[in-house]
Amino acid sequence: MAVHPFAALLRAGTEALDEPTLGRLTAKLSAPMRVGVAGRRGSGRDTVRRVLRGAGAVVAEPGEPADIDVYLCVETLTREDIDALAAAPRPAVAVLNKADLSGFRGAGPMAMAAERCRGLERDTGVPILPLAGLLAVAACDPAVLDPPLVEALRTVLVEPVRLSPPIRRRMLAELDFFGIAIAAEAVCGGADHAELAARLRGVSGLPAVLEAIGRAGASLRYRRLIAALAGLAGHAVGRRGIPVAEFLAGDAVVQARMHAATDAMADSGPADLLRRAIHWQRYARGPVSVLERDCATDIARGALRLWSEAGGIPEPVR
Amino acid sequence: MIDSRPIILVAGAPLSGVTSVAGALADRLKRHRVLERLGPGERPAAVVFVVSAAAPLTESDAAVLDIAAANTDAVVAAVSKIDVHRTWPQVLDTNRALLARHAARYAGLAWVPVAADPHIGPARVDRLAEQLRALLSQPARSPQKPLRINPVRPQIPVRPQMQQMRIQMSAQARTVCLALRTDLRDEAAEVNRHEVDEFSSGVRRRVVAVAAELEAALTGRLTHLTGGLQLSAPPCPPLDSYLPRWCRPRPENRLTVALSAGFGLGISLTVSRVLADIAPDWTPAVTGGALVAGVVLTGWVIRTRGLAAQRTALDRWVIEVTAGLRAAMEDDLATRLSAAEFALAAAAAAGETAALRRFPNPAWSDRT
Repeated sequence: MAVHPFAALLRAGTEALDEPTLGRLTAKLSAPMRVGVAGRRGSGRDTVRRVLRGAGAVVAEPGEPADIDVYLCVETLTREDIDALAAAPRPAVAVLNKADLSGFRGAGPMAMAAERCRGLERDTGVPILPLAGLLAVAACDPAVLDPPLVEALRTVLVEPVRLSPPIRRRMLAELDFFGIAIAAEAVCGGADHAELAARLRGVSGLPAVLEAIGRAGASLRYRRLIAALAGLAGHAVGRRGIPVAEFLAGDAVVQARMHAATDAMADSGPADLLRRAIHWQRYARGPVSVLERDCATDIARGALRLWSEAGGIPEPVR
Repeated sequence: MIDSRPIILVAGAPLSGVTSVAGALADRLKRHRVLERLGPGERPAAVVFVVSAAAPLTESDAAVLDIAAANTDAVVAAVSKIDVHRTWPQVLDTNRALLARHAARYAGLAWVPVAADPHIGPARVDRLAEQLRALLSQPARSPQKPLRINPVRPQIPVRPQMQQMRIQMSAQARTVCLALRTDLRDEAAEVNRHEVDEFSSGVRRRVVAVAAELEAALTGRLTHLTGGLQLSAPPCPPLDSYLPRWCRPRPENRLTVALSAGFGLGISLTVSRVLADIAPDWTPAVTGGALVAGVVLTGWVIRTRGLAAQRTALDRWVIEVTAGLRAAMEDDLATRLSAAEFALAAAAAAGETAALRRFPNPAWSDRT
């Protein structure tokens, strides 16, 4: 069971907030991050939906509202792909699907796909990640790598003639050439089910895609936190609002904002707390977007609070 | 000598396998010229439209066919890379239906599967070559309309923007390099003896980060300006070739030792004499104490002067590095802008500018 990202904040909230307010805050902060999958026809949208579902993401079905888009392209970025990415109303992660079919020469299809992604990124300025959808499905969905298929993978390198046509067709449909090669090599090397799945997952490029989705989700989570806390400010008025005001100014809120902001910036800055605060304060003064400025300010504030807790004594600036 | 053989034009989206299909056809159809791009005034006898079997074709693919087949009805469509993409039969059927819906003239188009440069199994181009031979042996099927020559559009909106961008980007590079230099010089003035290595590698990291940032900004603006036109970045010399390496000021160290030792010994001698005059009874102790103090003083001066020399060298090095970074950025800017201008001019000459659309780039739009 994954720990709630704002567990410490909600724990502090139980003491300061009344039941309905805390309930609303919890609901706002716990709403799932729905991932939508878009892309041109034949780009493997259903496969990638299955992959993301298997990897534990909340996937929006076609037509349902989503918080983050995974945009699939195949082989290259067409004019339509670029238009769709440019018009994306949400944070989007561009993925070059079917990377396992990029070619079987040189360093192999995944390396070729990664190289192609770098070229596309340099030409268009859109960051793209390679993904082999079929391999990722096999790694995430236990129904794919069932005993008959594993047995067939064991046989395919030794006596391919013994394989029946239906299982051959199934292997091709579920893993395709590159997947069969990788999986058969792993199985013959003595890999068990978990190791095989881990190997396929590693090769498929799924970890990088999930990380990119997580990164895109981090700024969204930060925005949700800010919106939820802004909603609370209205309750921090008058005598009855004192605990709420104290909660909002308290360490739990400042730390939660700092952690969410650090995730959103994907960088925590220098390890030394005072230097970190100075770094982010300077950063916030630079020519950056509103979100980045808010994040930097929150990190600086959190770092200063930690620094003074750790015994730091403020002194006048020269 | 003018090559008067009939032309076969092989057209398709980038990476769809156009080049390998053209190469395979050129080997098989020696009595024709197989081209991927027409020269001025050239007119194809037949067109091969190549679509990758990776996924069904898109509107932009169909637009390529519309331009290529503007002057002829002798068209063969090929689904390429069938050695790798096992779902090619479905893709072929979908493409046939999509193209028939796109324009009625493509309803009866012949679709052929090909693997011109196969990674698995043998090459499969012969059917396409036969289809083309059959098509070319028929009487000419060019539609009864005059050859359209696309006028070269003047690049009125793009060229000034390009100049403006050159100024803005070089100003940005200059500002960023200046800011970095000021920052690094401030830091270099406060470096400790133990922090020198850390500082010099930190400078490298920051320079590389700034270069990447400027490069991304340039890519973003270029993409914005050219509206998604396929621009491949020309190779530039690596950033490392612009940056001088950090080396410690060694020769100065010996001089520092000699001068500091002289200074320390001189002080100790003077002090011991003065004290010996004041308290003659304590002379041995005073001399010993003064010697120790002299040695300590010598050590301190050596360290301090060494550090000062290091800081001075670091300061000079930082200036050189930022100057190198600026030169690298300016070279990169000039190379990429001229490549972009060249590509735009080529696109305008090919009459593609009308199809270009501007698109905002999500990579550099404000994330809030």
